[in-house]
Amino acid sequence: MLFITRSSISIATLPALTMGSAAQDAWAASLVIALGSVLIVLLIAGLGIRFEDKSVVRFSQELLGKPFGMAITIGFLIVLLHFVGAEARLYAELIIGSFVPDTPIPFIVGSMVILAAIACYLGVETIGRTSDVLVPLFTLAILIALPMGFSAFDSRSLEPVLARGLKPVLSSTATSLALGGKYLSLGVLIPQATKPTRILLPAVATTLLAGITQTLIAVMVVGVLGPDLGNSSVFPFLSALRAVNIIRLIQRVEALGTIAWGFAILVDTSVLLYVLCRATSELMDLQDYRPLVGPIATVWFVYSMQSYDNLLSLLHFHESPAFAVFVTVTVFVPYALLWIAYGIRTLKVFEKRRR
Amino acid sequence: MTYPSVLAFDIEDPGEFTVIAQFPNPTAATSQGSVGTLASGGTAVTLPFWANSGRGASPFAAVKNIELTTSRQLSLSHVDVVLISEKLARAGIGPVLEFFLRHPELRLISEVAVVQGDMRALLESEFPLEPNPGLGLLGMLEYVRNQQSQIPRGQLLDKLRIISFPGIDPAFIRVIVLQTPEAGQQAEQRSTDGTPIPKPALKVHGSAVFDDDKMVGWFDAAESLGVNWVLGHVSRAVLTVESPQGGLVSLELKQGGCGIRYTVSGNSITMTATIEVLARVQDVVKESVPGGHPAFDPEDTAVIQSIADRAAEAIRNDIEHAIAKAKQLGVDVFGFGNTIYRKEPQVWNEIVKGRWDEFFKALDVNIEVEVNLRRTGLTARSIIPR
Repeated sequence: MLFITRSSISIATLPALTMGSAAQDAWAASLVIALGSVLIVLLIAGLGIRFEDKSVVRFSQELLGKPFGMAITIGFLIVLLHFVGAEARLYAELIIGSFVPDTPIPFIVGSMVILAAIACYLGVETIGRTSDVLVPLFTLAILIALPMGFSAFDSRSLEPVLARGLKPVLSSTATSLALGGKYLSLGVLIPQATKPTRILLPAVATTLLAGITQTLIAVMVVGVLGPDLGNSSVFPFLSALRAVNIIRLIQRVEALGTIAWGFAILVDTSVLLYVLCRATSELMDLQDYRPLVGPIATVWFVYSMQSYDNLLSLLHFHESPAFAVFVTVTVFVPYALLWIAYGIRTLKVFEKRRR
Repeated sequence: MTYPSVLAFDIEDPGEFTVIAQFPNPTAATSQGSVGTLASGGTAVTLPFWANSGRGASPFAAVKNIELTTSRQLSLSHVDVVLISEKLARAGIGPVLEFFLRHPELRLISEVAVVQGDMRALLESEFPLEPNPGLGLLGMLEYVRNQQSQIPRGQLLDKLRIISFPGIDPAFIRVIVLQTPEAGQQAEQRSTDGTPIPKPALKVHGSAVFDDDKMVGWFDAAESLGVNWVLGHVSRAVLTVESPQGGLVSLELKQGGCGIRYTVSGNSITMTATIEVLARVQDVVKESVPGGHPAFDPEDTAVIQSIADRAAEAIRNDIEHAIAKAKQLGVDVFGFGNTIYRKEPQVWNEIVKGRWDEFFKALDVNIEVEVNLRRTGLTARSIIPR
């Protein structure tokens, strides 16, 4: 599930978001992002497994006190709402821009919201089983499409390698690392797992795998489109797949990329909606999250439709430093505080035992 | 819907774009309708295609205006070939490239060529062996590139990449229109003796070289082949050289390998292009003398080496002519500047950047060609009449 949700970012926009300053070194930026994502997973899941029967909503209040814990949780909910809203809007913009220009965008977004709401209402088990079916199909689509993309590859596009040093590479990773805030969902999902304490290793492994996928996609996109064309493309991976033309028989492979992204969106939005509903129900001390599915799905739909004027404003916000600052303040800083609080508490317990 | 297979772009004064679309006509198969019909002397022939045009302030507007006089909606998702008139090429093809980059139906894998001659006449001409002229033209471009290598690679994506690379300029395929029929002329040829007399409508020959998005000149077949040798894009080529024993020997050549080496010394850059060629004797033209020497004898190693050396000399000449012409036009179609940009970025940024045109015109280029005559076809020695 983590693999498919993280890889969906690279299918969508990653090369465009990283290539701005990295240009032909976007692949290097992807490697940095992969390593950074692993650190994010360790930050979030590493603390979560230490409270295996409690979600972040509960243990944040336990560590930092009820008011502060609740405030942090509300910050998490806002970030999760942002992620799910942006995801749905981005995919809808792709569908409308590339395939069905006359279809109203609320129809596309509404369809995704309804599907995710149904999956969420049926429960995390259903989402997990759906993911079990879709992840192999997603992986197969990427495994078929990605090598085909290399048929139009021109290695000159990747040179000169790291000629401008690491600074442009590092500066282009901010947005993608901020998107790693999606791993916040682990904070709510860990207690749902069969063996919560064993979540960390698979989470790190899938994050690395997603990072390798992103790097290969970045290499392929830059090699096929070139740094300039790739940077100006709205959906670079899909644009690169449109260049596949093997013996004039194998074309239109972007369908595989679009289908794979659709699968990823379904799982991703369902998970995020579930996490939103679950966390909100815990915050409100409700027994069941299901009554909140309808209202939160409605809020999600409204947020998707109203928060951005168009695709360009969506991309522009995510490319700007404001997005990275927003996620850092609402996710990474609170988690750092939680770790500090956990460390202090552990030290106190250790001191008490020593006495 | 209707799916044009060829889109042709032209520009009229004062800066109005014309787009001609060639559509396959499915009704021709059932002899229904009269679209694209030529009628003369009472005999009507329904053509399997139809060409219609539109005008507009931009390529997109011109394409949309085609629909004003077409009974079906256009879908551009099957455009295989893009033609650009010489006039538009010299004015700048930026608007056409923008159109292709933005439109969700158009694909960058379309082959693109510059047309020398009457483009409308070309699109209204039949391809004798092809029901769909668009596919016929596409096949011609691919075949000529694979079998003769005297035209550059043709996909639009390739050109866009090259335009975005520093230190290299693109070359487009050149198409020469051979016939410009007067109205009804083709029909008269078909009806005079009762059977159609097909003639080739075009010739694929050489390339149009561009400085960024503006065409600056033509390269003939030999010059284009010279460029392809340096770029390593030769799959097959034909060369005829004089035999030291008299007569001519026709060789089929294949690219064995190529490499570019460079030396940078202060403000001076020297390039060395090394080209390896594999050759096969395909034909020998020599007056036969009964009882005399065979026209070609593979056991005479001195003759073999001489033929190989002459072939190498001919290839070197083609390349040097191409370099001289490229310098004259100020276009680096070989990518020498791009080599410096990729391999010596510091030199590029500190010395060359923004001044590559100057450096290119003064560039010292050494050409080393090695031809290896490996095969002689299905027979070794020529027959000797007795």
